[in-house]
Amino acid sequence: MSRRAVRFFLILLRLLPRDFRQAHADGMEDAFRELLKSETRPRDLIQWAVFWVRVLQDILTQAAQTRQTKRQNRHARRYPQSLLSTMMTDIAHAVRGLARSPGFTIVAIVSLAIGIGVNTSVFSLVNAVQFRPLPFSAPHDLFHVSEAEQDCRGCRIGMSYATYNNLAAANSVFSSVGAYRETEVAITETVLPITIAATRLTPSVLDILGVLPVAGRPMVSQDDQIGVPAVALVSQNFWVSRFGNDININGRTVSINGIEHAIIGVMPRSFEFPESSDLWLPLTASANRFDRDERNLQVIGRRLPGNELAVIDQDVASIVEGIATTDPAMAGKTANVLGYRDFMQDGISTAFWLLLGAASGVLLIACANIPCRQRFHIGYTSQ
Amino acid sequence: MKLQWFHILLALSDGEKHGSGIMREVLNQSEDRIKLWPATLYGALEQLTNSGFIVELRGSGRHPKGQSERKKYYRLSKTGREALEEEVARFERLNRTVRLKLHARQS
Repeated sequence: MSRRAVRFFLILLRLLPRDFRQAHADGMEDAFRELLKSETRPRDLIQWAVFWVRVLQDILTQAAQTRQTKRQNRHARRYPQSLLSTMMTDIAHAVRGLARSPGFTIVAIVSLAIGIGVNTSVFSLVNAVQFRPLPFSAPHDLFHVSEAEQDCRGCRIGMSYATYNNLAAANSVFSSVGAYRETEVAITETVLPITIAATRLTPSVLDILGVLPVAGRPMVSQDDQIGVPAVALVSQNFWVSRFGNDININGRTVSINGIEHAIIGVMPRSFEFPESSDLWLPLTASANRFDRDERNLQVIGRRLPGNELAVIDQDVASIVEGIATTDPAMAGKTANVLGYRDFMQDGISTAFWLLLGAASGVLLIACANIPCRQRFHIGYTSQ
Repeated sequence: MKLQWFHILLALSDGEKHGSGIMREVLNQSEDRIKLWPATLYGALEQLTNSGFIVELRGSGRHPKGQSERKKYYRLSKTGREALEEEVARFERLNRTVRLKLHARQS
């Protein structure tokens, strides 16, 4: 009887979770034998029936309890209490997942890298153009002046030397006004002349910008007169490419368009005015200085303190319109003033913001792309 | 603390025992009122081990001489003894409270 009972008990033990059963089967068998030996052992059929019901109840209760404990442990392992360990678990989980699917990982990393790279480069561009101050002293006081049509004040058409002269003499809003013109010149020292970008400017421009040469002297007002010795300011790059590290500029010359120019100074590397000039020559009043239709000058002014853009614009426009009433060549013309930064960014500004927006869009798509791919990927591998 | 746990700790308080020994002891000390059925017994033993109240002695060579090595022996740990004493103290406090209360009502 008791041997059969033990065998039946061992079968019933199969209802318990396996690890619990394996750990305690011997002990439970032993305890069961103890039950059969004790004076409480069943004696008749009814007692046996009750006994087996109690045994079954015991096993089923314990099985349920063990399973629940296991579930709780698993839950606790998966969602530990401390924030750090939660994070570490998440990171470990992520790393395992990534390592398991290198293809997905590479795609994710590459798309993120592209998104971030595009953003970084576009932002550094926008930063340089939009946010970094211009490399001139007090750049907010600099304004760019141009002639414009009376019926289209946004249509800026440049300025003639004659009008610039009138403006310089008559305005009451600028402490100083200067004019410049981008051009190209030939360096005629070799058999084949080299063409380089140059800028002709009135000596006042350097005053207005507040930039001094790193060596030598700036232009002075005598330098743009007719009949004085020709002079030139050169960029640092230009200087180094021709004279190396020689810092003595006395007696150095450069032959421009067949005329020997004395180099009077070397401009700092940061001086990019306009963008890629290597030479700055005096803007001399040439033969067409009275021709009001030759509107090839850019005019820049530094405002007197306290003048707002509207006041400046008003003043300059009234001067030009005054000329227009007397000179038929100026009929229908007025003037337009912009902050110098706005002039520099004219039109580009919007393009840059669009570019930055587009780049952000790329990053956003790259980021959104990853969870989508991951979901797809998980769905794919779990099937 | 579950009553079963308390009885198991109490059964181990005078020395290490194996499973069926604990069962017999609990039956004795509770005057046949608490019978630990095998699965319940080992479930409780496992939980007590995990809680650090008792220590399992199998394979460590520290089971009593003359007994089979196959059997697992259990010993009360320091924590287990503290928990038992705390529980006894709680019972005593409860006992006192109840006595005072009943005594006050009677008089």
